[in-house]
Amino acid sequence: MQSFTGSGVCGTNASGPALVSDVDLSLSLIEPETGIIAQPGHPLRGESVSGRVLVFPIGSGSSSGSYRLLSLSEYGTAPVAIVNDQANAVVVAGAVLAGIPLVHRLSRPVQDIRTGAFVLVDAVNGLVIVHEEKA
Amino acid sequence: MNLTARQRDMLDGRLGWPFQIAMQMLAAVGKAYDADELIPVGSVHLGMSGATMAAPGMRLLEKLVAHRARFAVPVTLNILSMNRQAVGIVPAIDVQEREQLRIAQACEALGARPTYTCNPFLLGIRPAREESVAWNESATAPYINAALGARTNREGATALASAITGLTPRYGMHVPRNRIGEIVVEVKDDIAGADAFSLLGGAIARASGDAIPVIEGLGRPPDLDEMTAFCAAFAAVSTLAMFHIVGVTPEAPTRAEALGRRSAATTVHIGRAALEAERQRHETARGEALDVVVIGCPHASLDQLQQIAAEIGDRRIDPAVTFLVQLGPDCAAAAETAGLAARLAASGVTLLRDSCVHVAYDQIPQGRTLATDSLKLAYLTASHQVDVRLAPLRQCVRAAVVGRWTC
Repeated sequence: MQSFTGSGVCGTNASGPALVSDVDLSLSLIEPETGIIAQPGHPLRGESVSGRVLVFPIGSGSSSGSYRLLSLSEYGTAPVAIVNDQANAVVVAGAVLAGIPLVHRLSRPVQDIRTGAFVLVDAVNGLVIVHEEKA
Repeated sequence: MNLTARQRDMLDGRLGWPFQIAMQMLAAVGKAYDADELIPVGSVHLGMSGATMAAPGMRLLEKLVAHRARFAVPVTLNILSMNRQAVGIVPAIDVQEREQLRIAQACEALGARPTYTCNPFLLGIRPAREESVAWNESATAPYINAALGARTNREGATALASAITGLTPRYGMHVPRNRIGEIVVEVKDDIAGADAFSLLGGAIARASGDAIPVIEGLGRPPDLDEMTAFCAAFAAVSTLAMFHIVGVTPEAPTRAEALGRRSAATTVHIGRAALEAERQRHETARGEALDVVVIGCPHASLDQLQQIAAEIGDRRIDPAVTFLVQLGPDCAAAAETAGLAARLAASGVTLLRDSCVHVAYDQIPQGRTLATDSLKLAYLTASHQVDVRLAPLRQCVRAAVVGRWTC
């Protein structure tokens, strides 16, 4: 088990298996009905964010990403939590609207978290706890 | 972040749910950016296309109306995903159109002005120098910051929160030291016309990377259409909300002041070759095919409509080509009054009011070839599996008249 100290931005806490992107991610290019990443050329294209702790360095692309996160939440396909190196306004506003815990600025780069690891995100205390074994 | 007693009451829900949800967004964004306080905004430009907000966004707005929320500051509205004068023409988008109309209705009930344009500067709306505002629509942010010397970040859903509270966290472009130029761009050749300034905006954004450019060498200050075209292209290629044109940007009377009196900035040179490289980068079409021409990204002015009419002259657009001009409802009304709309219609031009082909529910089918004079539209259209020609207005008109792309 590893504990990373960060800064909580909004929400409380949640846990689930991690889906980790090494590169920036555009929330507006996630399909609302399925939660599947449809961003052309993205390494995680075809993966679903639904029920997972979504980990990526920073949001990119259209400012409509905030409302997309709200849609994912209403469809029940949203990630359970988000971890960023730096949270930008699009991701933050979306996380608030969707009621998703968000932590950023960890003591280590977010890429150190492995996809499939079981992750607890505590946005109240700004903590991310990673269980090494696959979920 | 330090909150006043009233702001704390908003956040804690003592002043009702609309203030609470809005303040939750602003407080979280302020925390994420280490803002020290919330500051008042003078106005908001709000993005609310149905393509962006969808049914959940519609329900959010209608819930605000049901809670008797009212916008705290003047709010103008960005484009819709439809032309309100063409409702019901495409049965497949009937449900979505009804969603969009309800979104628009909710925004108007909250007190917004029904401008429905991405180019509110054509309406004479000009925030004052050093005034903080919260403007959605990426193309407007550099105009606010660089042309007017007012202050905005590139806003998303946070613009809605600012509309409700009249506040924004003080970070980014609201902080003078974050607006200082970091790289010098010297323009070597004479640039004129909105189409050329569109290419220039893309080329300068690309050459500057993450550094705020200080632009010199333009023969004269850009006119309104040139400046808005430049800003739209700049914001399409760059994530920045700021540049300086020496002698134009209020904070840039001289190069030294634009650079905050720092030295050792890198200088890059941009000329016609860089513009041509930028044009080719966005052009994906080959051969002679031409299905659609789209002018008016950002939304066209009355001047531009007159230019298009003059360019067509007594010729007629080939019936096989759809020639669209995107514009706001005010400009469309002015064109009707001036007889210009009728003249353009007789030439085979269709006016696309309130909307644009990128966010419209009624999409251009995949595999078609689209020609435009706008780098921003060429950039956006690449995500629609449509082949793109990026060329000056004159060349777009000539090709539309003969019905095929000719060089």
